[in-house]
Amino acid sequence: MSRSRRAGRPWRPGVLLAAVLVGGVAGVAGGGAVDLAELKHAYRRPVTIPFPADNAYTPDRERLGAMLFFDPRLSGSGAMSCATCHNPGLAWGDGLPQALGHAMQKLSRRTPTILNQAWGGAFFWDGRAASLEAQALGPISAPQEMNQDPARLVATLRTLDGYRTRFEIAYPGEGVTTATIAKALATFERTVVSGIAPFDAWVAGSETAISEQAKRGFLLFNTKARCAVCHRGWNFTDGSFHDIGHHTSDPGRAALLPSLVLMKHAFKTPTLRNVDRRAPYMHNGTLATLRDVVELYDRGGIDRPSRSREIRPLGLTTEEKDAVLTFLKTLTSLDPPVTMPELPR
Amino acid sequence: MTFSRLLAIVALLGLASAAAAADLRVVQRDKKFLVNRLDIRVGDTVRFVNDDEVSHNLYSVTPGMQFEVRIQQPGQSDKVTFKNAGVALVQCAIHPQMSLRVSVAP
Repeated sequence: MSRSRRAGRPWRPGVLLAAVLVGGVAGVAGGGAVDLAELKHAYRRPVTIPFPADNAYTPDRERLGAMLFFDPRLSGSGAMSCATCHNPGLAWGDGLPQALGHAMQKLSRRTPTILNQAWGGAFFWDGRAASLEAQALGPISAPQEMNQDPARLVATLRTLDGYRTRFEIAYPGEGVTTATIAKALATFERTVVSGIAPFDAWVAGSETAISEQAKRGFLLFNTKARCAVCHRGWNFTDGSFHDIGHHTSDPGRAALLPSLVLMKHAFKTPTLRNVDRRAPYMHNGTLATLRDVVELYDRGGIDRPSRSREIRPLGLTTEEKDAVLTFLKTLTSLDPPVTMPELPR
Repeated sequence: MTFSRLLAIVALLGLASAAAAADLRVVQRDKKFLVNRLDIRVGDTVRFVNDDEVSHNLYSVTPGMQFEVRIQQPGQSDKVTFKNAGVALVQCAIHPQMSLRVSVAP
C-alpha cells in the first residue's frame, strides 16, 4: 500500500537529510569488495516528486485527478474506473495474472502498478507512451480496456457542475477536454509514491531496521545476483527494456521497434517497491511467487537471440536466494489507507 | 629553436588534432550520453563509444536520417556517417532515457 504525497515539499526531511550512512567494506562471494556506504548512497530516496513544467503540481490538480481516477464514468460501461485495475488496496495493481478489461475480457498483460510513475520515462509495458499525460488516455479509449469514447467522456463531464468548476479551478481557461483530463490524471498519478520502508530506514542510518540476512541480500542484489544492473536506485528500476528469457509469445517492445532483435519479448524493468504485495509477477503474471522470479533469473531464462546481454545463469545457492528474497521484502512500506474522493453527480 | 621546444610544439599539435577528433565521438556511460546535443555537417562521421558497464543499442527513426547500430557490448564502438541535413534523434532502445539530438547542417 502507498499513499499520496505533496509535491515540492520534502518528505520527512528530518529522517532523510539527517541520514547517517554507516560505512564499511563487505566482501560478497563472486562480487569482490563493495563499499557499502557508497552503495547505500545510490538508493537514497529523493526529496521531492518531479512534475513537468507544462503540467506543474497544484493541490487542485491532484484532487481533480484523484476524482477522475476513481470515477467509473471514465469507462464506456460506467462500471470501471482506473482504480478497478490500479487498486490502492493491492499496491495499485489488481493481483490478477492478466488484467480484466471491458465486459470482463482477459487482456494479454498484467496490470502494472502506478507506484512511483513520476520517475518513469516510457510508459506501458512496451514503453509506447512518452509521458504519463500521453499514457492516461490509452486505457480509457482502448475498446478492450475501458472502452470509452473520449468525446463522449468530455461531453459527460461537461454536464456535471462539480467537474466543470473543478476543471476551471485546476486548469483556468482550458476547460474540460481530453488534454486536461489527461493532465489531471497524470498529476494525481505522480503523487502516488511508495512510502518509507524498512530498507529506507536502514539506508537512513537505522542499523536494526532490517535483518542481517536482508543486508546480505542487498549486497547480493548488487553483486552476484546482478539484479541492480537494471533494478538500481531508490525506485529499483532504471526504466530499461529487456527480454529476460521468460516464456512468452508477446512481441513486447518489438511492436514499436521491429527491426531491433533485442526488443523482441522485451518489457520494461518494473519498480521493486512493495513488490511482495504485487504477485503474480512478470508482464503476463505467469510466475506466482517472488521465489519463482528469483529461480528464473538464476537459471538465466531461455537463451535466444533477443535475450538481454545482461542475463546469464547466476549460480546462486539456496542461502543466497533466501537472502535476496528477505531483502526484497524490506522494500514494502506500511502506509495509511487511501481516502476515496466524493464524486460529482 | 631548441629540440625540447620543438617537441612541445609537436605535442601541442597532437593534442589539437586529438581534440578535433574527440568532437565527433559520443560516449555512453552510466546509461547516459555524455553530451545531449551534437552539431555537425553533412558527411561527418560520428563514433559512438560504449564506455559503460552494460550493453546499448542505438537507433534513429527520424525520417531521412534512420540508422541502427549493432548491439554494443561494453568497450565497443561504431561509426555512423550522417548523409542528410536535419535533426536526428538518437536513442538507445534498451534505455529510452538516453536521448541525443544530432543537428546536421548542410
